[in-house]
Amino acid sequence: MLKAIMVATALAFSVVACSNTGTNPVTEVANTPVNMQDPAKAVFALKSAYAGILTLAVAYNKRPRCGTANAGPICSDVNIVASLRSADNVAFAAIQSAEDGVRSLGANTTAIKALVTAAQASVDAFKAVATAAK
Amino acid sequence: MGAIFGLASAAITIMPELIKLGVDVADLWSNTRRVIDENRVPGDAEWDALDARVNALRAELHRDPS
Repeated sequence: MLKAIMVATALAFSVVACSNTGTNPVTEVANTPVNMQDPAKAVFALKSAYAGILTLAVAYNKRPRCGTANAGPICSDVNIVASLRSADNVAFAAIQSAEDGVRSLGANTTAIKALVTAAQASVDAFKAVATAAK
Repeated sequence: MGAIFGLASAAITIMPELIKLGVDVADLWSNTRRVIDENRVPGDAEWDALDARVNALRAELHRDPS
């Protein structure tokens, strides 16, 4: 029984550790390079990176809340979850504006490039909160 | 012993979710990588697929765990 528990624990830790290295899809998506020379490609890459960051945030949110009856050593802090949700709302609104711009207005206007820059900043802020949540 | 069991229980509880998320992200990454590698503007289908993925993830993030 003890051996089975130890194997399960080791396996679970390997999955969790895998999501924190630089070689797995979550990290790669979250670090998708953004080429600002072409706003349409930039927004697509940025939204993909945002989706990768969202995945980290979702994994954190899925943990039991710290301080509740079923919370174990792996839990999520309610204040950090609130910060993640708040940062996500800002990032989503900014990236959606940028996406609407490049999909409907074309790619070569100063206004669209400003939207992409703003979206990049808000995604960076969301990434900072998500990567700090351990 | 109790601590080990608690840690194992917590890890086992979230492990299927992590594996599912990992599969989803691998799929997302392969689609993104293809567009970037081909150096082209994404089409409507690719945008819509990415939007659907983001909307599903956001629904999860803004839902409290049961």
